[in-house]
Amino acid sequence: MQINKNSEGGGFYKAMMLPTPAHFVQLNIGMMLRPFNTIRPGEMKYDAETVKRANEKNK
Amino acid sequence: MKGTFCILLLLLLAIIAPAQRRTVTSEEREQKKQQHQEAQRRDSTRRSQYLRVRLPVVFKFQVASGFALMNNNQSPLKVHSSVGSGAELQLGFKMAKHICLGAGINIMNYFVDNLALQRSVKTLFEQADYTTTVTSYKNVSFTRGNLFFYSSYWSYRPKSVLECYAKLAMTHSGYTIDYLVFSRKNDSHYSELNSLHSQAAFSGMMPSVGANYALRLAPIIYLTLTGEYGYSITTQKH
Repeated sequence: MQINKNSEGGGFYKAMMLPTPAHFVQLNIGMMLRPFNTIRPGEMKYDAETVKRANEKNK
Repeated sequence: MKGTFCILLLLLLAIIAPAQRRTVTSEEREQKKQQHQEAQRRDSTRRSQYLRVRLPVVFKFQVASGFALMNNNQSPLKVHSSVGSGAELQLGFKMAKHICLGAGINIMNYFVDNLALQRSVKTLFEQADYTTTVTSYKNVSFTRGNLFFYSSYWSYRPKSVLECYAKLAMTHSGYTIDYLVFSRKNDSHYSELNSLHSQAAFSGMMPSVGANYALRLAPIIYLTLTGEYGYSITTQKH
């Protein structure tokens, strides 16, 4: 919004377009945690095939 | 004699029998306790296995930096590229060996080149035979928040994972312009005071693509490096 006032008592106001965000480039550094990564060999509730499949998926 | 023997036998039985009962009860109690502990251990193991199979979750926390290019075509003001920093948090679910779906938030703050912006404001109000001065202004910084969803493809290396992803973000960003410009005609007392005040708010979408290199430090901890490009589709409100 532009508001104009002059020394003779006149003036006007008008809306103004502003620059808009367009392109973004981003570089990140951080940590990734995978706490449920694999099923341990001692915990064999599921049959071997299921454990293998799950571990393959979570690899 | 026979009667005395019978009485003694009864007395002996009265002493021994309760003791035998107590021993049996104690053993049974011990057995029950062990069975209960065993059942609890099995349940606990089952729960943890259930979690491990059902929740292949990936958490990511990243410190972000980057720059933004503004679209200046429709505006007399010129905001050039701005450098920014922020943070990003992601929660992903491995749906298959190579596929991951997730969501997250990203918050960035960009530092606008205020000198360039001030120059463009002054240029906007400059007229022939006038002396123009920017009398007051507020430094502009540009803030952006994203809520995004992403899908990624994981390519495995022996010690690392290369992840290529596509994101769709719902964005909200904005900045405040606040300028006061005074112009005085050189050969008279005529003067003008122009006030520029605008709170620009942009809501929209931002599709983006990127790649993430994750180096394995431990079986569950990875160091990540990410590069991303996004194009923001916004609407402007005055």
